[in-house]
Amino acid sequence: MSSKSRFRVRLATNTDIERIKRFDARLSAGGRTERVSYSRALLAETFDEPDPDLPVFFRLMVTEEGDEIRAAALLFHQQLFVRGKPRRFSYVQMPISEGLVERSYSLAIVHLVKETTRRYPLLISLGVGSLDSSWARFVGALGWKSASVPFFFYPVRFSRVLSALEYLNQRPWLRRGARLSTRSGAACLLGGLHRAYFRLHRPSPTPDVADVENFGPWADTVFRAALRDYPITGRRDSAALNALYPKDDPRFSRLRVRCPKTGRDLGWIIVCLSRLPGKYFGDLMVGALADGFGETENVPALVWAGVQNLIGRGAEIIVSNWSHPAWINGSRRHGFLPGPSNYFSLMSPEAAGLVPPTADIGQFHIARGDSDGLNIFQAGARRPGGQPTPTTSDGLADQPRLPHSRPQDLHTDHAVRAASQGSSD
Amino acid sequence: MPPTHDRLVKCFRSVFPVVAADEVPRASLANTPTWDSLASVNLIALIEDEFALDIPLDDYEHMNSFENIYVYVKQREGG
Repeated sequence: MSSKSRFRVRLATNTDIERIKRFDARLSAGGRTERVSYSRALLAETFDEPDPDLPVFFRLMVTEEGDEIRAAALLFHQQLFVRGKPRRFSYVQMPISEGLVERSYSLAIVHLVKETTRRYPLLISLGVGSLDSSWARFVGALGWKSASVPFFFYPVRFSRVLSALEYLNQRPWLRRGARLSTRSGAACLLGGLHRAYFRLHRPSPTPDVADVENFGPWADTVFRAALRDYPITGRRDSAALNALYPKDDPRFSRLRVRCPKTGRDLGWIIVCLSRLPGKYFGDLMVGALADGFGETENVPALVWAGVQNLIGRGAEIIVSNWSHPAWINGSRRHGFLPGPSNYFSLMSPEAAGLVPPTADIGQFHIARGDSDGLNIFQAGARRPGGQPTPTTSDGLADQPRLPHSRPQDLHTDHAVRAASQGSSD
Repeated sequence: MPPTHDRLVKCFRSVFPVVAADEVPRASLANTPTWDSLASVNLIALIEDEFALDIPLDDYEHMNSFENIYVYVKQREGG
């Protein structure tokens, strides 16, 4: 009965650029704004065969029918260290299908995801905003597992946060409570207590913190020493970090944290600061603990260093998403409060199988910086008070998106409602 | 066990509850607005379970109407 399908899934090459443009044009003609995300800056990485030793690289998978592309997804290849051993894995970003505008192509995305999963069994889709999203339901039907990545926030300026947070403003009782506490002075009191709590938990001795341009061999030493503390983590040595957080990307501050007495590296933490576009945080200056690594006993010091830095630069609220218990506990220790997380990970069956059945996502070390979780922090964000400058130069920061309801939920024709993030060059 | 036709109707009704049972045999991707990729995946998974089949990706092309699927399942059943 088996016959050759009209669809073929393959890696895109440089010769596909015109096909991609036609694909985008058909989506546009159908009234869709989604586009295959690529940029000239990414072409070499996206389309050419990469050096297998590259710590991170992009590939574009496409479903073609005849001479036309009918679906595409960007794969962000990295290395995952599973109990100390490296394995290649990929984040799936921006799946998009022509089924959005023509249902006869609805199977194009099915072919794409199934064939991609066959070729690259360890796949993770990170940052999905809702398990009710079409993308989450779609991959769920294909046997993918989901988990939420816990969200934490640190209100630096209590009164400002209470008045600006959209989450509170949308809920009448919370809004009234917030107003009452602001007017009564309770917010100031709470803020004072919160600051006192933070000061009380200042690490001793106070670590040395340096804002560094890039990651050197010291980061390799940290990675090797701390790897045993993390059952599953992305590669976070200097080569990977300098690719993930390049020194010419102004969004990131890379904080190297050392013991003042011995000079020994405790680890590092990456922070971002920006007024975010979108409604979630109003006009608050939002800081984020984007990523970090170190032996788990040093994590509280790393979190402290990140918070100190962001407070010093004017953050009014600090947010983070962590999955590993050491980072969750380290955040709580320094006054972070748990918030409602709508930052989900979806894992292919083989990726989910890395975790013992009785364990949870805490086996993974997932941070906001993983996959494309920092797209909301646009280039130019480090200018205090300045408005972020949208960029498409790196293909990773195409469009501003909401903090933790990011539309990777794209997909599935009706279903593949593609990524709002996916603007091409 | 109910005949293949009835079991297939049951699968369709699970995925497309708004399609009346007597309309199911005429259902196709072209005339069923909710038949998208998610529906396709769900429908195929249900059919695989119901008929203990493993449907290869290349055969998904047949999964575009009740009639085609019925023929496909009957052939796979050896009927």
